[in-house]
Order: sequence, then C-alpha cells, then structure tokens
Amino acid sequence: MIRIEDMSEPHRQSWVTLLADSAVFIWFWQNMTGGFNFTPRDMEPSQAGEFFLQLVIVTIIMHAVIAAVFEMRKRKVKFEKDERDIDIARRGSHAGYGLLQLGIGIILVTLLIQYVVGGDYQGPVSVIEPVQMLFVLCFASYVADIYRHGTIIWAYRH
Amino acid sequence: MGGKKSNITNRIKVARVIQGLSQAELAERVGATRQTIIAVEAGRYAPSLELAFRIAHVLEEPIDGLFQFDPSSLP
Repeated sequence: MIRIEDMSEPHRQSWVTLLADSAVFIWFWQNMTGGFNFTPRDMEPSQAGEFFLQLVIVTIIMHAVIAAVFEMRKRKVKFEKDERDIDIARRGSHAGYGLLQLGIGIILVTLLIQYVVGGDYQGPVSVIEPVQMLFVLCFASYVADIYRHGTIIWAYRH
Repeated sequence: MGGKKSNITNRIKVARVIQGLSQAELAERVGATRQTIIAVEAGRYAPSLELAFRIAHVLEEPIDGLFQFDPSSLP
C-alpha cells in the first residue's frame, strides 16, 4: 500500500474523486431504485426531474470543488505533471471511455430489441421509458468514471 | 510504456547513491516526480528515451551502462 504522503498529486486526486464518485453513485442508485436493482422505482415526472437535476448539480459541484482544491495544491508546490502521470491518466481515460462505449452500446441494443419486440419484451433491464433511459445513462456514466479512476489507482500501484 | 513489468533493468539506484543524490533531488534535476523515480528504480516503469538520457546525464553515466535490456524477451 502506498502511503498518502508518497502519492503524487494526480494519484491523490484520483483517490478523492473515486471515493466521492462512489458515494454519489451509491446514493443515486439506492434512491433511484429503492434498493440496488436495475429498475427505477415509480416516480412522478416532476419527482424524477427534480432527482436528476439534483444528481447533475451534485456531480458538477463535487467535481468543480475537487478540481479547484487540487489546482490550488498544485500551484502551491509548483507541481508539473511528468510523463508517468500523463501516461497513467491516458490509460485511465482510455479504459473509462471503453467502458462507457460498451455501456452505451448495450443500452442502444436493449432499446432496439425492446422497441422491436414491444410488449413481449422480458429482459432484465427496461430502457423504453424516459426515466429508465436517464437512469441507465447516468448509471453507465458513473460506472465508467469510477472504472477510470480505479484504473488510474491500479496503474500507480503496478 | 509502464503498463507491464519492463524487460529493461537499470542500476539507477546504485549510480544515484554514488552521486550522493536522493530520489527527490534526482527527480527535480531530471524534471520528473519522485514517484516516477521510485517506479523506474523498482523496474515498474520504463522511462521514455528522453527521460532515460536526462537521468544518464545527471548521474554522469553512459545510457547503456545505466539501462540493460534482456534480449531473451525478444520473440
């Protein structure tokens, strides 16, 4: 285990972002489904809209605060990214983007099947309603971001 | 680069100690972070050619004296 004081600033930033993302993701998943399953609970459109707006605002504020705090820390120590930081960040982005692409692909295929099959659709995840579509898109986006930071942390350790 | 265990070994640590430099001092002089120097010394990260030349220059060693490639890894 690498000690906190031995981590580079991007390494620390990835840890903080991973923990914050995970907390928001658990809150989102739990509140959206009423448990940890893949079907959003019944919500009024206004209630769903309010919830997604909350999620967007929380996400923006959280990422802005983390970025601002680390930017200030980096300025204090005159930090400059070196080639290993850049390489690891690139590998993390590549992994996260790959997973996001896979998630979007699965959502599109599910939507197509559900649209073609209609009422006979019996799949585990439904994406035909707007709230269901919003849920799976936010879910895929969060999982991809968590995977990205997880990949970065893993790369710093190996 | 740096994704898997490198086939390049090095004797940076020995050369650095001979020069009386700490990891932080070497990192500062070559324009890298201390974490990168730690990873390079441990063989967990293969540096770019430019960083390898910078390290060799600071440690006053020929680059092929500092880094060794294991030819048995070739196909």
